[in-house]
Amino acid sequence: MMMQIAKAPHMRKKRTTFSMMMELFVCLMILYAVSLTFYFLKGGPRFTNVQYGLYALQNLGIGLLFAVLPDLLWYLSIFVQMRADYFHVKIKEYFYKVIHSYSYITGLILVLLLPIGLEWYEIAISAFFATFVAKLVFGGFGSNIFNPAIVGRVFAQIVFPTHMTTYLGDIGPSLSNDVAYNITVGATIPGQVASHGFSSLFDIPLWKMFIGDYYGSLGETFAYVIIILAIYLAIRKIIDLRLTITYLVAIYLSSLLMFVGFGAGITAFEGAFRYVLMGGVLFGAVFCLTDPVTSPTSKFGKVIFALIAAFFTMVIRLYTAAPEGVAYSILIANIFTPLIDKCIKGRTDKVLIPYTASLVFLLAVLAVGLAYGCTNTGVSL
Amino acid sequence: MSFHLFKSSEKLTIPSNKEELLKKPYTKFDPEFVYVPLSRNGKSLKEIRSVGDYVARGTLLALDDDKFPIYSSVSGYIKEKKEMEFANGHMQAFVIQNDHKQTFELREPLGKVSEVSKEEIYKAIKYSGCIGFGGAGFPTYKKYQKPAQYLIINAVECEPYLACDYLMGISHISLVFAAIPYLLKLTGAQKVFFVAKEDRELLIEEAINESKKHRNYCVEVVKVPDAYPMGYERSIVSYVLHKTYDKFPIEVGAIVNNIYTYMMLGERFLYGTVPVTRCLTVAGLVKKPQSVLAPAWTLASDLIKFCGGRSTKKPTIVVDGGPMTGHAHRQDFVTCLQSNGVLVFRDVHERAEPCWHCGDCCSHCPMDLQPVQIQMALKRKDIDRLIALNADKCINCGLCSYVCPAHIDVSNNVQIAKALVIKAKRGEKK
Repeated sequence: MMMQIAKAPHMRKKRTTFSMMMELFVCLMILYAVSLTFYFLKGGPRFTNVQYGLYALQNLGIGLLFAVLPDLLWYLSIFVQMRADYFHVKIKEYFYKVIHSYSYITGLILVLLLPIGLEWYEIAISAFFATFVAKLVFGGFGSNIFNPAIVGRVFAQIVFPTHMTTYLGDIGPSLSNDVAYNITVGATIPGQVASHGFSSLFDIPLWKMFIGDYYGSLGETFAYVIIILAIYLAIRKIIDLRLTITYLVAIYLSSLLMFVGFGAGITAFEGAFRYVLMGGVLFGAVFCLTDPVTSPTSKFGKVIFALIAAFFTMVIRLYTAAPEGVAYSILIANIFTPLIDKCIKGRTDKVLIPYTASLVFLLAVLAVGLAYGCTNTGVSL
Repeated sequence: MSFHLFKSSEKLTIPSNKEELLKKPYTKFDPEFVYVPLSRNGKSLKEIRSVGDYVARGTLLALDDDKFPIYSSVSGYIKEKKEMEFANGHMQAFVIQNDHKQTFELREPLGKVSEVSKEEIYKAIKYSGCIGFGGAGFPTYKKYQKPAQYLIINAVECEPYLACDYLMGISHISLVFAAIPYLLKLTGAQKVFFVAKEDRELLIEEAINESKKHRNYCVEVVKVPDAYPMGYERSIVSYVLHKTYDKFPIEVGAIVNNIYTYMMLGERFLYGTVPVTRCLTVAGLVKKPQSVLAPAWTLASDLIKFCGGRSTKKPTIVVDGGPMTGHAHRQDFVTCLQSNGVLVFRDVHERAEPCWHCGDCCSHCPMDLQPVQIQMALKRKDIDRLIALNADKCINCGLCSYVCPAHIDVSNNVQIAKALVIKAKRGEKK
């Protein structure tokens, strides 16, 4: 038998996909732990704080279990077909496949993306859908086009819209004029903007928004934790901050122009800051947009990808009736990924085209905010 | 760390694993047998000697169509002619039994620089059979066919484990500088750059001291950062001259040669010897890792035995050259003249995970290619896309495989793509 001889290079970097994924898992668990602590301490009007905490725990358990379940079933077929002579070889291979499908990370991100108020079966169905349809049907880890966790969240948003938008509002604390808790979900902001105006953005103090002392999806409210984790992950080269920062800056500048268009004056800076903190922008930018599988491979492509996502976030937030722009915009940007990759040819050592193209895309994002701001000058803050 | 928003040239320092090797002086080794190949690039050479003849070191054994010679690397009788496995393929070879007398057949040394003609220098380079000792084995005389403005001495040695050029450099720096005036006269160049890694302080010091002795020409010592692949011709030219070129550095008026090549040329000009010895680093899983000065075309197993044998009983592979670009062998093989290392590694085949398109290979590629995209296009057998991605520009540095967290053989796939593109382009031309 001709054995394959190892190819050069004969040295490899120590980092593996598995170790990077485990680090990401730990980071997400830290975020979850912060969230869990918050719900245990804070409580709410309808339930006691312990009940809230238990809800959070239940969400995690159900999410992880039903995200991994499709893997367990899917690879069973491979298990049956495998021609290994020994049972333990087969079982080892089976668990290798399941563990290296990384569906538990999908599940964990999905749990963090969903509000606490969902029923357990709703989370279960979303998680199952996320792994099965968005990942396994496309050929498993590495072959998926759409970010599985985002697909799960959008699925939940479409199928269980009432619980995504009102259930939490129902149990949330009553802050000033019944608006603030709706920010918390991050799902009904366009509706809120339509009915109450942008003033609802300013209902809770900025520091509370920053440390996440309000209700929202499980993981997306704790801005400071997300920022710290993002810095750590970027230093460890697990995520590419190129994506995150481009996305956040584009949205910040665009909303800044929007507030300037409203005639907000100096408040525009704070308003734009709140606009970035609100909803899933930060979480999406750090944990979902940076998913290597569904983002372009080159640096130029990544920047363009982030700008496209920012563009659709602004369009969906401002011009459509959809509850939240981040998830949809990431899915739409994912569609563009193969196209972006295809457009980048040859050697990537020239910077003129990338800078020009990024500038054009950035201007497009800014135009969305500015156009909305100029056409709605009467908005009171 | 340099940050580029769009450019991909992220410099990467890889563990060099040679702190110990750099401290040990090289040792000399005289093997029982050497195996001189009788073909070059797939063409068999015209044999001058036959089985049974007595040859000395530097005796002409064979010539190729271009009259480019191959010399014996030991003195002794030609025992037989047989098929051997070399580091670069199966070839017919003369087996020469070493009589350990070290008799040398010398050529005529060149006289003073002012007295020799350009033609004489060129002939001396060509008929010395000198090849590029950086690892590629490109005949040196081909580089000196055109006039140039810059000569660059490459003493970077960026591959991990390899320390032989450094060790030879610190002990024979005067030979390097002896070659320079002849080459300056031949090429008409004005400037000489001595390029070494910044942490090779001793070599840099020696080079500066030596350059002070020679007032009639100017040698600039350039320190390059500890990064891979800094020792590659293209990286050096772009670092030193801030110029890029298409195929050969002569396009921007530069000639890049390895420090060992200079040493061998210096020896040829001064004493009339021909380059038939090579210093190799024997390292990895051997008991006494060290650099060995041995005659060319020694068996790898002889070298490993000389260094105390393997230190593991598990299956191993033997790599000819550096760990990043060298070819692995399971069977015994004969090292080439240009080989610079014999490294023993564990024979493991790591399981690759699916590619998750992280783009690490894109951001580290010294040629700014997109290995991951090339790999995807190769899977689809999409030749047009491969041509659009400039797959033929790959320099085979192996960095994409090195950085790949999924442990995919990216570099190998790019090599396959490169071959396809070159074939397709040739087809177009015809």
